[in-house]
Amino acid sequence: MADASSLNPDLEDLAALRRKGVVDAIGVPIFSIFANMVGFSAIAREAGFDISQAMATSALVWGMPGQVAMASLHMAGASALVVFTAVALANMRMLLMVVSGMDLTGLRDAPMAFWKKVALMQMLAITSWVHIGQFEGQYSKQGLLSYFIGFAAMVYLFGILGTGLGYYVTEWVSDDVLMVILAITPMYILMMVVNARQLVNRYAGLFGGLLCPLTYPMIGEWGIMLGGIVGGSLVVLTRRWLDPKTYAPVKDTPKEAGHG
Amino acid sequence: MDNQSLWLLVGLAVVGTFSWRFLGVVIGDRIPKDSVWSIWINAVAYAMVAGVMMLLVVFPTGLVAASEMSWRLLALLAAVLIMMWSRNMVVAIFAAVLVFALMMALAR
Repeated sequence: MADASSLNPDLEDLAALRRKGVVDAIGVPIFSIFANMVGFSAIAREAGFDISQAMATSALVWGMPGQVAMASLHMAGASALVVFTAVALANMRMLLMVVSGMDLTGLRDAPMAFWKKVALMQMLAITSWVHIGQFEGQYSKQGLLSYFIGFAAMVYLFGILGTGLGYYVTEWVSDDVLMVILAITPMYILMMVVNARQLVNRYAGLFGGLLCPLTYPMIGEWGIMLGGIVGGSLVVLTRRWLDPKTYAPVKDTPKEAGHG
Repeated sequence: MDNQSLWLLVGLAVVGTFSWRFLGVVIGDRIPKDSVWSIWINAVAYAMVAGVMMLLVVFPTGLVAASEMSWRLLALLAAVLIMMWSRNMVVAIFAAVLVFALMMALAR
């Protein structure tokens, strides 16, 4: 666990890491976000939103499940209150992802204005968060922040571009191709969960991934919250048993306190 | 629905999401480092993300709803097995696409 802080940020080329983030985003990540936003744009268009509203939603909401909930519930004739509740529930994980992202990238202790932290976290999406989770401990926190900025900016840019182009492009791409892309994207995110650095987070993904769809038919969107909290808590309670290497019971000495 | 009401819906969706992000930065700035709380928050976030993604696999909306659940589950199984075996994202995703497209073609 202490790997990250033991790495020396002075030895890392932060600009190079930012470029690496940009380069790593080119390929599956931006292709997947682009295609998904094309998919969102198709739903938004069908629901009666114009292109500027679709693009504003992607840029300012920037959370796919909430965006889809907004457009599809509106299409189904739901009230504004229902739409708001569904979006808030579908995107509630943002809270946890932001707290986790701030810890991963050391943004918590970064000498940076509060609004800048908020602006950086506005770029955080599932793709970029799960992606950097795979590099935890591989770079210093400062290094990971640089990497995140390059990676997340590209994903954000292509997400908004995908929404704009998607508004018109859906007629040129066959439904079959779009269906394959949209069906595979959640699996791509799930593969990054399988690949998470911390073993407990992989188990958390397994528990949450089973609990949510099992409870969803009974309690709807609340299943996300229940699956997340129960799944995550179960893993934390059993962490010493699930991952004895990282969470050995004897390791409670305060000698690692003097980091940096 | 008129254009203004649609902008209102967009605004509500923005508030419904941005509030979480903002609260995240406020809490993230204060939470003790390496505490059991930060482990818990990470674990719950992973469980929620996996949960939301599994909902898209099991109960899809839009275009994907026209596909069979068996195609999606088999594609996911192929991806998970290959990912655990090879740790190679591209190969795992390629396997999922292959399985899904094959099932789609066989069903016609």
